[in-house]
Amino acid sequence: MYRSQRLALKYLAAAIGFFGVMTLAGLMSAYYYINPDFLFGILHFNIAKTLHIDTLVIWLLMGFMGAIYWFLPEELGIETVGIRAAEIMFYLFCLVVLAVAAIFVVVQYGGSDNAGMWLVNQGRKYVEAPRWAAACIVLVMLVFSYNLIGTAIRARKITGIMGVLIVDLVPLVVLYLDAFPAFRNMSVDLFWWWWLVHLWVEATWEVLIGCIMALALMSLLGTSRRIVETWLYIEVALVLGTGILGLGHHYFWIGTPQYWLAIGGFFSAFEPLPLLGMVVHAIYDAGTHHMKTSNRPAFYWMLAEAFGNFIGGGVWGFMITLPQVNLYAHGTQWTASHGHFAFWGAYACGVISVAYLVLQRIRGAASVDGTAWRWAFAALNFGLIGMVGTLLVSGFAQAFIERAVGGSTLEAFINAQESAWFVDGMYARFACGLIFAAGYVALVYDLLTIGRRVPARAAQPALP
Amino acid sequence: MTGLALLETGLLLGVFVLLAGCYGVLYGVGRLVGRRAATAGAFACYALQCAVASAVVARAPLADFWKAFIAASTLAYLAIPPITWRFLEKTH
Amino acid sequence: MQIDSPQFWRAGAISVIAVMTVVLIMLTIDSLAAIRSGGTHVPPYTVINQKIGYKYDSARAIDVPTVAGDEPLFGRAETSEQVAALIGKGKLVIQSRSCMNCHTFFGNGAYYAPDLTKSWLDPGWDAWQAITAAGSKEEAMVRFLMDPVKFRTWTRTMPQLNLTREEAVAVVAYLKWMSAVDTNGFPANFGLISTSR
Repeated sequence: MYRSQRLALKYLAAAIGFFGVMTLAGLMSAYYYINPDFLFGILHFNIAKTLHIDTLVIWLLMGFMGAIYWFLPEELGIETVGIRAAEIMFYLFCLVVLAVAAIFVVVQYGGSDNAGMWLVNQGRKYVEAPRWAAACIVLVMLVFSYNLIGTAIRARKITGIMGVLIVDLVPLVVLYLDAFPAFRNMSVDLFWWWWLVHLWVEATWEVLIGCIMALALMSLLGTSRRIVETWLYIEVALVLGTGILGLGHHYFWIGTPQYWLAIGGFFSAFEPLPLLGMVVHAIYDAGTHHMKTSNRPAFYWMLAEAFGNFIGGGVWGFMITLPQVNLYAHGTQWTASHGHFAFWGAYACGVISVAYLVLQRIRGAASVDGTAWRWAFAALNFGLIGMVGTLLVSGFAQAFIERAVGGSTLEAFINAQESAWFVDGMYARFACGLIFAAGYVALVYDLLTIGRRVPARAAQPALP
Repeated sequence: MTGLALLETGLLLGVFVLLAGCYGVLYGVGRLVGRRAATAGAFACYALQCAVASAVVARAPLADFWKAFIAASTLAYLAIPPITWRFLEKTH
Repeated sequence: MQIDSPQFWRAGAISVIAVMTVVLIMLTIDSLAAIRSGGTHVPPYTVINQKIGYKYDSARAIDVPTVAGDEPLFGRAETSEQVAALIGKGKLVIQSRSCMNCHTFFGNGAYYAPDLTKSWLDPGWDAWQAITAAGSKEEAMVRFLMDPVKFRTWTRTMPQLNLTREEAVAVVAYLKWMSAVDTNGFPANFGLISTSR
């Protein structure tokens, strides 16, 4: 095994660990809605919520990096260049995340000056990490870029997937630089902030996961390189063709000109179309392989990715993407419902799939299967669908009572939050969150044991 | 937009895309197993999608531009599963 | 080049990305001009010296902010330099206390507490003036921000964030400025204050 692959395993383990922190912080955030006095004066909603969304970003990013460190030496046939630096960066990355989490929990708020921004909390959603930590993350990303580019140069080989990956590193690093400024003007602040948030999540990350899925498909199903590269380019063209100007659906209400209503609505309304193509593709792959594979959990999580992406991103997104609906749905639990579903479908399922692929190889199991992963799969997906369903009910109530009827004042907000539909939705969301957390526990158990329990059987031939 | 119209429009738009997904899945299943019932189900979903699109055009308080967009995209949704399938067969 | 070849789609992907990126850059240049302080959509910071409203514009068919007459914050008109410093301070207070992870600004943030886009215009402040025994809306807001636990709003109490008076004043100034940003009608029908439709 390459050192790069040992590093990959560490990254994937850390990713699954932070997935747990995200789940716990999410449960806490959900609990505040049904018991607002919870930890009052000690730890407030905004800190739990910050931990929830920041660890979401971190665990997915670590999962992506783990997947790439795993596939990179296999793809290029040599050890990753600069692997020692990469290993140091892994520990730095983990230390930084833990230190920032400790600062958020213990210190919580800094002063309203530059020192506060550098040392404690920047208070911008998703990029709350103080600047010193953001600088460390830039360093980690730069070393990661060096690993990829350096390895490609030393191997004197550039595959299609590697080419896409390397080009994608540029916006991945450059866009993150928006984690530093504190613009006085909120409109300007949010304008650039959406470049980071949207163009990471709906563009560069989509390309990253596309590359990872392409490599995983070759590994899992033995699909030919020509096919996966063709489809990767198609995906890149369609996702970025709709996603780059789809950025405009975040520019409806932040003070930007009115033309964004048409541009943002138009391009983001196209976004479900490529996702439908991916669903048809998944059906084709599942059918031609008769749902048979040596790694059933990885395969099912990959299918969950295609369907989750379509439903969470496509269906849930299309409900609220046209400006006339978005005017009322924006900034309500309706949006939260979409966000949960889309992140889960687009990224989380893919990272879990890769974790299963890697574990099968590491443990040398001819095939992996069993019952624990089914429980994890069922509880995580059922819990997630339950959460987004109940958030949707609460979101409907909020959009109706607060926005459409009440005119969005403080009084209208409170009326909506106290309505039976909203409150019941929040209780049910918490219950579904517990199911999700139980699924997480089952997932961790399965990841720790799968391939160890099942005796190695005669290797199955790679399916065409 | 009134509260009821908001929820009605949001739901119709969501169901519109969901039905497209059902159409895509059933179309794929129909092609895989060669069962007419699945293909018929696929086109039934598409017919329902057209009905939802008609309801959006007729009832939803959206601007004409978006109604035209919904009508045009209904045609695009019809084409995506067969084109994707044909392309998959060609490339694999 | 055939349609099922990777090269065909690579060329397609590069072309699409190039075109979309160029269009995005052009729109960004135009938008940045419109959203700078004093641009067509975002008022100058000195707008906090004036009276701000929110009114239905039948030509655009949306609610738009109105700016008319003098109404300086705390009755003191500030120079543009003073105002810029105050707004800058307000933004740093908002960031340092992580307001965005409970509230939303222009609908962006967290959904645990109300949206603050037009909170300066909230009719509820009249009642808070009485509750806080303040002589003006801005003074009521400052008193609330400095001791939100004492002036509890409802079951979800805003925590004590240890704002100094200077910081609380800066936040109020920020919220007043923000209420004058043209948000294309968001939030719709705010406070049902429009009577012209």
